[in-house]
Amino acid sequence: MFQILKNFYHKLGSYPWFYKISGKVIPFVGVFSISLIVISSIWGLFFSPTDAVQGDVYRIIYFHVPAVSVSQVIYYSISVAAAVFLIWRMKMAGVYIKSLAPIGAAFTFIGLLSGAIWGQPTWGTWWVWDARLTSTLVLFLFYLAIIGMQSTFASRKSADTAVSIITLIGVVNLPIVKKSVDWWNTLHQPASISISGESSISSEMLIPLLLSILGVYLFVFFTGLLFMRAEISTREQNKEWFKKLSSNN
Amino acid sequence: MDFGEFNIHIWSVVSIMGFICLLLIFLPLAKIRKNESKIKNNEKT
Amino acid sequence: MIYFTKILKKEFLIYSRKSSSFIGPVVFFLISISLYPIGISNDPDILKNLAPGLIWITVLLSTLISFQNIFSEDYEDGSIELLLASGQNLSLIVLIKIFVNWVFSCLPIIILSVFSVFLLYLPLEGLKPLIISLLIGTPTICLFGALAGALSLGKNSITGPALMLPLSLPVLILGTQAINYSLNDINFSSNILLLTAILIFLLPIILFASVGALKLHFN
Repeated sequence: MFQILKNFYHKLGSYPWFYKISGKVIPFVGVFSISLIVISSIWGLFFSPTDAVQGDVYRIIYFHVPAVSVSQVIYYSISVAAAVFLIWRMKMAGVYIKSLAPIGAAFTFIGLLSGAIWGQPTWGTWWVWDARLTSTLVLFLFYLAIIGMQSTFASRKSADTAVSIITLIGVVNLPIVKKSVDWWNTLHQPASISISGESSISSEMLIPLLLSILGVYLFVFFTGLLFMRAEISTREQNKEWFKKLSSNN
Repeated sequence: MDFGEFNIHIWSVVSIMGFICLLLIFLPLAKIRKNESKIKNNEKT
Repeated sequence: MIYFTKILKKEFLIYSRKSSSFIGPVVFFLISISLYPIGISNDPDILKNLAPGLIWITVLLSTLISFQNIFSEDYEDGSIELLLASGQNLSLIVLIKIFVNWVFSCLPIIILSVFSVFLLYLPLEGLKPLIISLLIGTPTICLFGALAGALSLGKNSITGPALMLPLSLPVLILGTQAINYSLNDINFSSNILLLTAILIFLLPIILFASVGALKLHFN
Protein backbone atom coordinates (compact mmCIF):
# COMPACT_ATOMS: atom_id res chain seq x y z
CA MET A 1 0.00 0.00 0.00
CA PHE A 2 2.74 2.40 1.02
CA GLN A 3 4.65 1.48 -2.12
CA ILE A 4 1.67 2.35 -4.32
CA LEU A 5 1.30 5.71 -2.61
CA LYS A 6 5.00 6.39 -3.01
CA ASN A 7 4.83 5.50 -6.70
CA PHE A 8 1.83 7.75 -7.13
CA TYR A 9 3.64 10.61 -5.43
CA HIS A 10 6.64 10.24 -7.70
CA LYS A 11 4.43 10.07 -10.78
CA LEU A 12 2.55 13.15 -9.62
CA GLY A 13 5.80 15.07 -9.68
CA SER A 14 6.32 14.37 -13.37
CA TYR A 15 4.98 16.87 -15.88
CA PRO A 16 4.47 14.48 -18.85
CA TRP A 17 2.57 11.94 -16.77
CA PHE A 18 0.31 14.61 -15.31
CA TYR A 19 -0.27 16.21 -18.69
CA LYS A 20 -1.36 12.94 -20.27
CA ILE A 21 -3.56 11.78 -17.40
CA SER A 22 -5.22 15.15 -16.88
CA GLY A 23 -6.04 15.30 -20.59
CA LYS A 24 -8.00 12.07 -20.20
CA VAL A 25 -9.72 13.02 -16.93
CA ILE A 26 -10.70 16.60 -17.73
CA PRO A 27 -13.66 15.98 -20.11
CA PHE A 28 -15.41 13.63 -17.67
CA VAL A 29 -14.94 15.85 -14.63
CA GLY A 30 -15.94 18.91 -16.63
CA VAL A 31 -19.18 17.47 -17.95
CA PHE A 32 -20.07 15.96 -14.58
CA SER A 33 -19.36 19.11 -12.52
CA ILE A 34 -21.07 21.51 -14.91
CA SER A 35 -24.18 19.33 -15.16
CA LEU A 36 -24.23 19.02 -11.37
CA ILE A 37 -24.07 22.81 -10.99
CA VAL A 38 -26.79 23.31 -13.60
CA ILE A 39 -29.07 20.69 -12.02
CA SER A 40 -28.59 22.02 -8.48
CA SER A 41 -29.16 25.63 -9.54
CA ILE A 42 -32.35 24.80 -11.45
CA TRP A 43 -33.53 22.75 -8.48
CA GLY A 44 -32.62 25.51 -6.05
CA LEU A 45 -33.98 28.35 -8.15
CA PHE A 46 -37.29 26.87 -9.28
CA PHE A 47 -38.25 23.80 -7.29
CA SER A 48 -37.16 24.30 -3.68
CA PRO A 49 -39.67 26.00 -1.39
CA THR A 50 -39.62 29.73 -0.72
CA ASP A 51 -38.16 30.81 2.61
CA ALA A 52 -40.78 32.01 5.05
CA VAL A 53 -38.75 34.93 6.39
CA GLN A 54 -36.52 36.07 3.55
CA GLY A 55 -38.68 35.21 0.54
CA ASP A 56 -37.13 34.31 -2.78
CA VAL A 57 -33.88 36.18 -2.16
CA TYR A 58 -32.63 33.37 0.05
CA ARG A 59 -32.00 31.35 -3.15
CA ILE A 60 -28.66 33.15 -3.44
CA ILE A 61 -27.56 30.64 -0.78
CA TYR A 62 -27.13 28.05 -3.56
CA PHE A 63 -24.31 30.16 -5.01
CA HIS A 64 -23.01 31.99 -1.96
CA VAL A 65 -22.35 29.12 0.44
CA PRO A 66 -20.47 26.86 -2.03
CA ALA A 67 -18.29 29.74 -3.23
CA VAL A 68 -17.30 30.87 0.27
CA SER A 69 -16.62 27.37 1.56
CA VAL A 70 -14.57 26.38 -1.49
CA SER A 71 -12.51 29.57 -1.28
CA GLN A 72 -11.34 28.64 2.22
CA VAL A 73 -10.68 25.03 1.30
CA ILE A 74 -8.58 26.16 -1.67
CA TYR A 75 -6.46 28.35 0.61
CA TYR A 76 -5.78 25.49 3.00
CA SER A 77 -4.92 23.15 0.13
CA ILE A 78 -2.58 25.77 -1.32
CA SER A 79 -0.78 26.09 2.01
CA VAL A 80 -0.32 22.30 2.17
CA ALA A 81 1.17 22.51 -1.33
CA ALA A 82 3.43 25.35 -0.16
CA ALA A 83 4.76 23.19 2.67
CA VAL A 84 5.33 20.33 0.22
CA PHE A 85 7.16 22.68 -2.11
CA LEU A 86 9.42 24.10 0.60
CA ILE A 87 10.22 20.75 2.21
CA TRP A 88 10.50 18.33 -0.72
CA ARG A 89 11.06 20.81 -3.56
CA MET A 90 8.31 19.20 -5.63
CA LYS A 91 7.95 21.26 -8.80
CA MET A 92 4.33 20.28 -9.27
CA ALA A 93 3.42 21.94 -5.96
CA GLY A 94 4.57 25.27 -7.40
CA VAL A 95 2.38 24.71 -10.44
CA TYR A 96 -0.51 23.83 -8.12
CA ILE A 97 -0.16 27.05 -6.10
CA LYS A 98 0.10 29.24 -9.16
CA SER A 99 -2.91 27.62 -10.84
CA LEU A 100 -5.24 27.45 -7.86
CA ALA A 101 -4.63 30.98 -6.56
CA PRO A 102 -6.64 32.75 -9.30
CA ILE A 103 -9.48 30.23 -8.91
CA GLY A 104 -9.55 30.83 -5.18
CA ALA A 105 -9.53 34.59 -5.71
CA ALA A 106 -12.39 34.27 -8.21
CA PHE A 107 -14.53 32.26 -5.80
CA THR A 108 -13.75 34.56 -2.88
CA PHE A 109 -14.86 37.42 -5.10
CA ILE A 110 -18.07 35.59 -6.01
CA GLY A 111 -18.67 34.91 -2.33
CA LEU A 112 -18.15 38.55 -1.31
CA LEU A 113 -20.24 39.89 -4.18
CA SER A 114 -23.13 37.46 -3.75
CA GLY A 115 -23.04 38.15 -0.01
CA ALA A 116 -23.33 41.87 -0.67
CA ILE A 117 -26.18 41.39 -3.13
CA TRP A 118 -27.89 39.10 -0.63
CA GLY A 119 -27.30 41.50 2.23
CA GLN A 120 -28.86 44.45 0.48
CA PRO A 121 -32.51 43.24 0.56
CA THR A 122 -32.23 41.27 3.83
CA TRP A 123 -30.16 43.55 6.10
CA GLY A 124 -30.67 46.77 4.16
CA THR A 125 -26.96 47.36 3.53
CA TRP A 126 -24.50 46.02 1.03
CA TRP A 127 -21.72 45.61 3.53
CA VAL A 128 -21.45 45.03 7.25
CA TRP A 129 -18.13 45.00 9.09
CA ASP A 130 -19.02 41.66 10.52
CA ALA A 131 -16.37 39.18 11.60
CA ARG A 132 -16.99 36.73 8.81
CA LEU A 133 -17.13 39.33 6.07
CA THR A 134 -13.93 40.95 7.25
CA SER A 135 -11.99 37.72 7.43
CA THR A 136 -13.22 36.77 3.95
CA LEU A 137 -12.01 40.15 2.71
CA VAL A 138 -8.60 39.48 4.28
CA LEU A 139 -8.58 36.08 2.56
CA PHE A 140 -9.21 37.85 -0.73
CA LEU A 141 -6.29 40.22 -0.04
CA PHE A 142 -4.02 37.24 0.65
CA TYR A 143 -5.01 35.71 -2.68
CA LEU A 144 -4.22 39.00 -4.40
CA ALA A 145 -0.81 39.14 -2.70
CA ILE A 146 -0.07 35.58 -3.87
CA ILE A 147 -1.08 36.41 -7.44
CA GLY A 148 0.85 39.70 -7.39
CA MET A 149 3.99 38.02 -6.07
CA GLN A 150 4.16 35.69 -9.08
CA SER A 151 5.39 38.41 -11.40
CA THR A 152 8.03 40.01 -9.17
CA PHE A 153 10.69 37.34 -9.65
CA ALA A 154 12.51 36.59 -12.86
CA SER A 155 13.24 32.93 -12.20
CA ARG A 156 10.38 30.48 -11.87
CA LYS A 157 11.88 28.67 -8.89
CA SER A 158 12.42 31.86 -6.84
CA ALA A 159 8.89 33.00 -7.58
CA ASP A 160 7.48 29.66 -6.46
CA THR A 161 9.52 29.75 -3.24
CA ALA A 162 8.49 33.33 -2.47
CA VAL A 163 4.85 32.51 -3.05
CA SER A 164 5.12 29.44 -0.81
CA ILE A 165 6.62 31.56 1.98
CA ILE A 166 3.79 34.10 1.71
CA THR A 167 1.17 31.37 1.67
CA LEU A 168 2.53 29.76 4.82
CA ILE A 169 2.81 33.10 6.63
CA GLY A 170 -0.77 33.75 5.57
CA VAL A 171 -2.04 30.46 6.90
CA VAL A 172 -0.28 31.09 10.22
CA ASN A 173 -1.87 34.52 10.37
CA LEU A 174 -5.40 33.73 9.18
CA PRO A 175 -6.57 32.13 12.45
CA ILE A 176 -5.14 35.10 14.36
CA VAL A 177 -7.00 37.49 12.06
CA LYS A 178 -10.18 35.50 12.45
CA LYS A 179 -10.00 35.42 16.25
CA SER A 180 -9.04 39.07 16.61
CA VAL A 181 -11.81 40.17 14.25
CA ASP A 182 -14.21 38.15 16.38
CA TRP A 183 -13.14 39.99 19.54
CA TRP A 184 -13.23 43.32 17.79
CA ASN A 185 -16.67 42.66 16.42
CA THR A 186 -18.15 41.67 19.75
CA LEU A 187 -17.14 44.99 21.26
CA HIS A 188 -18.58 47.21 18.58
CA GLN A 189 -21.61 45.37 17.31
CA PRO A 190 -24.49 43.64 18.94
CA ALA A 191 -24.82 40.11 17.66
CA SER A 192 -28.16 40.86 16.06
CA ILE A 193 -27.04 39.84 12.60
CA SER A 194 -26.14 36.29 11.88
CA ILE A 195 -25.30 35.47 8.31
CA SER A 196 -26.95 32.13 8.03
CA GLY A 197 -30.00 30.53 9.44
CA GLU A 198 -28.59 27.18 8.49
CA SER A 199 -29.41 25.49 11.73
CA SER A 200 -33.10 25.32 10.92
CA ILE A 201 -32.79 24.53 7.24
CA SER A 202 -35.29 22.04 5.87
CA SER A 203 -34.27 19.00 3.90
CA GLU A 204 -35.96 20.25 0.71
CA MET A 205 -33.56 23.19 0.80
CA LEU A 206 -30.61 21.19 2.10
CA ILE A 207 -30.40 18.63 -0.71
CA PRO A 208 -29.96 21.13 -3.57
CA LEU A 209 -27.54 23.07 -1.36
CA LEU A 210 -25.39 19.98 -0.80
CA LEU A 211 -25.59 19.18 -4.52
CA SER A 212 -24.43 22.67 -5.45
CA ILE A 213 -21.56 22.49 -2.94
CA LEU A 214 -20.48 19.18 -4.47
CA GLY A 215 -20.82 20.65 -7.94
CA VAL A 216 -18.67 23.67 -7.14
CA TYR A 217 -15.99 21.52 -5.51
CA LEU A 218 -15.87 19.31 -8.62
CA PHE A 219 -15.84 22.42 -10.79
CA VAL A 220 -12.82 23.72 -8.89
CA PHE A 221 -11.14 20.35 -9.42
CA PHE A 222 -11.92 20.62 -13.13
CA THR A 223 -10.69 24.20 -13.61
CA GLY A 224 -7.72 23.45 -11.37
CA LEU A 225 -6.67 20.69 -13.76
CA LEU A 226 -7.21 23.04 -16.71
CA PHE A 227 -5.12 25.82 -15.16
CA MET A 228 -2.37 23.38 -14.20
CA ARG A 229 -2.29 22.04 -17.75
CA ALA A 230 -2.04 25.57 -19.10
CA GLU A 231 0.74 26.38 -16.67
CA ILE A 232 2.68 23.22 -17.54
CA SER A 233 2.27 23.90 -21.24
CA THR A 234 3.83 27.34 -20.76
CA ARG A 235 6.66 26.10 -18.55
CA GLU A 236 7.55 23.11 -20.71
CA GLN A 237 7.08 24.67 -24.13
CA ASN A 238 10.57 23.89 -25.30
CA LYS A 239 10.81 20.39 -23.87
CA GLU A 240 10.98 17.39 -26.18
CA TRP A 241 8.01 15.51 -24.68
CA PHE A 242 5.71 18.47 -25.07
CA LYS A 243 6.65 18.99 -28.70
CA LYS A 244 6.09 15.30 -29.43
CA LEU A 245 2.75 15.26 -27.64
CA SER A 246 1.33 18.37 -29.24
CA SER A 247 2.47 17.53 -32.74
CA ASN A 248 0.76 14.14 -32.46
CA ASN A 249 -2.61 15.67 -31.64
CA MET B 1 -39.87 30.52 -7.79
CA ASP B 2 -42.39 31.95 -10.23
CA PHE B 3 -41.13 32.03 -13.79
CA GLY B 4 -42.92 35.26 -14.57
CA GLU B 5 -41.42 37.26 -11.73
CA PHE B 6 -37.95 38.69 -12.27
CA ASN B 7 -35.80 38.90 -9.15
CA ILE B 8 -32.87 41.17 -9.96
CA HIS B 9 -30.79 40.13 -6.93
CA ILE B 10 -30.82 36.44 -7.78
CA TRP B 11 -30.29 36.86 -11.49
CA SER B 12 -27.38 39.26 -11.10
CA VAL B 13 -25.64 36.71 -8.84
CA VAL B 14 -26.37 33.93 -11.33
CA SER B 15 -25.08 35.89 -14.30
CA ILE B 16 -21.92 37.07 -12.52
CA MET B 17 -21.13 33.57 -11.32
CA GLY B 18 -21.81 32.13 -14.77
CA PHE B 19 -19.57 34.72 -16.38
CA ILE B 20 -16.68 34.07 -13.98
CA CYS B 21 -17.05 30.30 -14.36
CA LEU B 22 -16.94 30.60 -18.16
CA LEU B 23 -13.86 32.79 -17.81
CA LEU B 24 -12.24 30.16 -15.57
CA ILE B 25 -12.87 27.49 -18.21
CA PHE B 26 -11.93 29.35 -21.36
CA LEU B 27 -8.85 31.27 -20.21
CA PRO B 28 -6.70 28.15 -19.60
CA LEU B 29 -8.16 26.44 -22.66
CA ALA B 30 -7.07 29.35 -24.84
CA LYS B 31 -3.61 29.28 -23.26
CA ILE B 32 -3.18 25.54 -23.87
CA ARG B 33 -4.36 25.90 -27.46
CA LYS B 34 -1.96 28.79 -28.03
CA ASN B 35 1.02 26.88 -26.64
CA GLU B 36 0.24 23.73 -28.60
CA SER B 37 -0.36 25.56 -31.86
CA LYS B 38 2.88 27.50 -31.43
CA ILE B 39 4.80 24.23 -31.67
CA LYS B 40 2.83 23.04 -34.70
CA ASN B 41 3.60 26.31 -36.47
CA ASN B 42 7.27 25.95 -35.64
CA GLU B 43 7.32 22.52 -37.19
CA LYS B 44 5.70 23.70 -40.40
CA THR B 45 8.22 26.46 -40.98
CA MET C 1 29.57 37.97 19.37
CA ILE C 2 32.01 40.78 18.61
CA TYR C 3 30.97 40.42 14.99
CA PHE C 4 27.34 41.10 15.81
CA THR C 5 28.06 44.08 18.06
CA LYS C 6 30.10 45.51 15.19
CA ILE C 7 27.17 45.08 12.84
CA LEU C 8 24.88 46.69 15.39
CA LYS C 9 27.21 49.69 15.69
CA LYS C 10 27.50 49.95 11.92
CA GLU C 11 23.75 49.94 11.48
CA PHE C 12 23.31 52.62 14.14
CA LEU C 13 25.93 54.77 12.41
CA ILE C 14 24.30 54.37 8.99
CA TYR C 15 20.87 55.33 10.30
CA SER C 16 22.09 58.28 12.36
CA ARG C 17 24.05 59.73 9.43
CA LYS C 18 21.07 59.45 7.12
CA SER C 19 18.65 61.85 8.74
CA SER C 20 15.85 61.23 6.22
CA SER C 21 15.37 57.72 7.57
CA PHE C 22 13.94 58.89 10.86
CA ILE C 23 12.72 62.37 9.98
CA GLY C 24 10.46 61.04 7.22
CA PRO C 25 8.11 59.00 9.43
CA VAL C 26 8.08 61.71 12.11
CA VAL C 27 7.06 64.40 9.62
CA PHE C 28 4.46 62.10 8.13
CA PHE C 29 3.04 61.36 11.58
CA LEU C 30 2.87 65.03 12.63
CA ILE C 31 1.28 66.13 9.35
CA SER C 32 -1.42 63.49 9.43
CA ILE C 33 -2.17 63.99 13.13
CA SER C 34 -2.71 67.69 12.50
CA LEU C 35 -4.76 67.03 9.37
CA TYR C 36 -7.34 64.80 11.09
CA PRO C 37 -8.99 67.59 13.12
CA ILE C 38 -9.11 69.77 10.01
CA GLY C 39 -10.48 67.04 7.78
CA ILE C 40 -12.92 65.34 10.14
CA SER C 41 -14.08 67.75 12.80
CA ASN C 42 -12.64 69.98 15.50
CA ASP C 43 -15.21 68.79 17.99
CA PRO C 44 -13.33 67.29 20.99
CA ASP C 45 -16.02 64.68 21.61
CA ILE C 46 -15.77 63.22 18.10
CA LEU C 47 -11.97 63.32 18.04
CA LYS C 48 -11.75 61.71 21.46
CA ASN C 49 -13.60 58.64 20.21
CA LEU C 50 -11.59 58.43 17.02
CA ALA C 51 -8.17 59.12 18.53
CA PRO C 52 -7.04 55.52 19.36
CA GLY C 53 -7.81 54.25 15.87
CA LEU C 54 -6.39 57.32 14.15
CA ILE C 55 -3.07 57.12 15.99
CA TRP C 56 -2.69 53.42 15.32
CA ILE C 57 -3.54 53.73 11.63
CA THR C 58 -1.09 56.60 11.24
CA VAL C 59 1.69 54.61 12.89
CA LEU C 60 0.90 51.67 10.61
CA LEU C 61 1.00 53.83 7.49
CA SER C 62 4.18 55.62 8.52
CA THR C 63 5.97 52.29 8.79
CA LEU C 64 4.98 51.76 5.16
CA ILE C 65 7.31 54.63 4.29
CA SER C 66 10.25 53.19 6.14
CA PHE C 67 10.09 49.42 5.70
CA GLN C 68 11.85 49.48 2.37
CA ASN C 69 14.89 51.04 4.09
CA ILE C 70 15.62 47.82 5.96
CA PHE C 71 17.21 45.96 3.08
CA SER C 72 17.03 48.05 -0.08
CA GLU C 73 20.25 50.05 0.28
CA ASP C 74 22.27 47.05 1.40
CA TYR C 75 20.88 45.25 -1.61
CA GLU C 76 21.89 48.01 -4.00
CA ASP C 77 25.47 48.38 -2.75
CA GLY C 78 25.92 44.62 -2.53
CA SER C 79 26.57 44.28 1.19
CA ILE C 80 23.71 41.80 1.61
CA GLU C 81 25.48 39.50 -0.79
CA LEU C 82 28.60 39.74 1.36
CA LEU C 83 26.60 38.97 4.50
CA LEU C 84 25.09 35.94 2.79
CA ALA C 85 28.54 34.75 1.78
CA SER C 86 30.04 35.40 5.23
CA GLY C 87 28.55 32.25 6.71
CA GLN C 88 27.43 34.02 9.88
CA ASN C 89 24.05 33.48 11.46
CA LEU C 90 21.82 35.38 9.06
CA SER C 91 18.65 35.47 11.13
CA LEU C 92 20.54 37.25 13.90
CA ILE C 93 21.81 39.85 11.43
CA VAL C 94 18.28 40.34 10.10
CA LEU C 95 17.06 40.71 13.68
CA ILE C 96 19.67 43.42 14.31
CA LYS C 97 18.62 45.24 11.15
CA ILE C 98 14.95 45.10 12.10
CA PHE C 99 15.73 46.27 15.62
CA VAL C 100 17.74 49.29 14.46
CA ASN C 101 15.07 50.15 11.90
CA TRP C 102 12.48 49.99 14.69
CA VAL C 103 14.56 52.26 16.94
CA PHE C 104 14.88 54.89 14.24
CA SER C 105 11.48 54.77 12.55
CA CYS C 106 9.01 53.67 15.24
CA LEU C 107 10.45 54.86 18.55
CA PRO C 108 10.33 58.60 17.66
CA ILE C 109 6.71 58.21 16.60
CA ILE C 110 5.82 56.45 19.83
CA ILE C 111 7.36 59.31 21.79
CA LEU C 112 5.55 61.85 19.63
CA SER C 113 2.22 60.10 20.08
CA VAL C 114 2.14 61.68 23.54
CA PHE C 115 1.16 64.89 21.74
CA SER C 116 -2.07 63.26 20.63
CA VAL C 117 -3.31 63.92 24.17
CA PHE C 118 -3.37 67.60 23.26
CA LEU C 119 -4.01 67.45 19.52
CA LEU C 120 -6.67 64.74 19.37
CA TYR C 121 -8.03 65.21 22.93
CA LEU C 122 -7.20 61.65 23.94
CA PRO C 123 -8.09 61.33 27.65
CA LEU C 124 -5.10 60.99 29.94
CA GLU C 125 -5.97 57.51 31.17
CA GLY C 126 -5.72 56.32 27.54
CA LEU C 127 -2.08 57.35 27.36
CA LYS C 128 -0.65 54.41 29.25
CA PRO C 129 -2.28 51.65 27.12
CA LEU C 130 -1.46 53.68 24.01
CA ILE C 131 2.26 53.77 24.77
CA ILE C 132 2.42 50.15 25.96
CA SER C 133 0.45 48.76 23.00
CA LEU C 134 2.55 50.77 20.56
CA LEU C 135 5.77 49.59 22.21
CA ILE C 136 4.73 45.95 21.90
CA GLY C 137 2.74 46.15 18.66
CA THR C 138 5.11 48.09 16.40
CA PRO C 139 7.93 45.49 16.50
CA THR C 140 5.47 42.97 15.04
CA ILE C 141 4.62 45.43 12.28
CA CYS C 142 8.33 46.00 11.64
CA LEU C 143 8.73 42.23 11.32
CA PHE C 144 6.03 42.12 8.66
CA GLY C 145 7.67 45.09 6.99
CA ALA C 146 11.01 43.28 6.93
CA LEU C 147 9.41 40.24 5.31
CA ALA C 148 7.62 42.37 2.73
CA GLY C 149 10.80 44.34 2.09
CA ALA C 150 12.86 41.17 1.69
CA LEU C 151 10.37 39.73 -0.78
CA SER C 152 10.02 42.84 -2.92
CA LEU C 153 13.71 43.81 -2.97
CA GLY C 154 14.84 45.96 -5.83
CA LYS C 155 11.35 46.30 -7.24
CA ASN C 156 9.06 49.20 -6.80
CA SER C 157 5.97 47.08 -6.60
CA ILE C 158 2.75 47.38 -4.68
CA THR C 159 3.09 43.79 -3.43
CA GLY C 160 5.04 44.84 -0.32
CA PRO C 161 2.32 47.01 1.21
CA ALA C 162 -0.39 44.72 -0.17
CA LEU C 163 1.18 41.88 1.78
CA MET C 164 1.91 43.86 4.91
CA LEU C 165 -1.43 45.49 5.65
CA PRO C 166 -3.65 42.40 5.91
CA LEU C 167 -0.99 40.73 8.05
CA SER C 168 -0.94 43.58 10.57
CA LEU C 169 -4.71 43.63 11.01
CA PRO C 170 -4.71 41.71 14.35
CA VAL C 171 -2.15 44.06 15.84
CA LEU C 172 -4.25 47.06 14.83
CA ILE C 173 -7.40 45.56 16.30
CA LEU C 174 -5.81 44.52 19.60
CA GLY C 175 -3.95 47.82 19.97
CA THR C 176 -6.93 50.10 19.47
CA GLN C 177 -9.09 47.82 21.55
CA ALA C 178 -6.68 48.07 24.49
CA ILE C 179 -7.03 51.85 24.47
CA ASN C 180 -10.80 51.71 24.11
CA TYR C 181 -11.00 49.23 26.99
CA SER C 182 -9.05 51.49 29.29
CA LEU C 183 -11.25 54.46 28.36
CA ASN C 184 -14.28 52.39 29.36
CA ASP C 185 -12.64 51.25 32.60
CA ILE C 186 -12.18 47.67 31.44
CA ASN C 187 -8.99 45.79 32.23
CA PHE C 188 -6.87 45.89 29.08
CA SER C 189 -4.01 43.63 30.20
CA SER C 190 -5.35 40.65 28.21
CA ASN C 191 -4.91 42.59 24.98
CA ILE C 192 -1.35 43.52 25.88
CA LEU C 193 -0.63 39.88 26.69
CA LEU C 194 -2.09 38.80 23.35
CA LEU C 195 0.02 41.37 21.51
CA THR C 196 3.10 40.02 23.28
CA ALA C 197 2.08 36.47 22.40
CA ILE C 198 1.71 37.39 18.73
CA LEU C 199 5.14 39.05 18.76
CA ILE C 200 6.88 36.09 20.39
CA PHE C 201 5.05 33.58 18.21
CA LEU C 202 5.78 35.34 14.92
CA LEU C 203 9.36 36.47 15.66
CA PRO C 204 11.19 33.21 14.81
CA ILE C 205 8.84 32.34 11.94
CA ILE C 206 9.22 35.68 10.21
CA LEU C 207 12.97 35.88 10.78
CA PHE C 208 13.32 32.46 9.19
CA ALA C 209 11.02 33.40 6.31
CA SER C 210 12.76 36.69 5.57
CA VAL C 211 16.18 35.03 5.52
CA GLY C 212 14.73 32.58 3.00
CA ALA C 213 13.30 35.46 1.00
CA LEU C 214 16.65 37.28 0.98
CA LYS C 215 18.42 34.20 -0.32
CA LEU C 216 15.99 34.03 -3.24
CA HIS C 217 17.50 37.12 -4.80
CA PHE C 218 20.94 35.54 -5.10
CA ASN C 219 20.51 32.24 -6.84
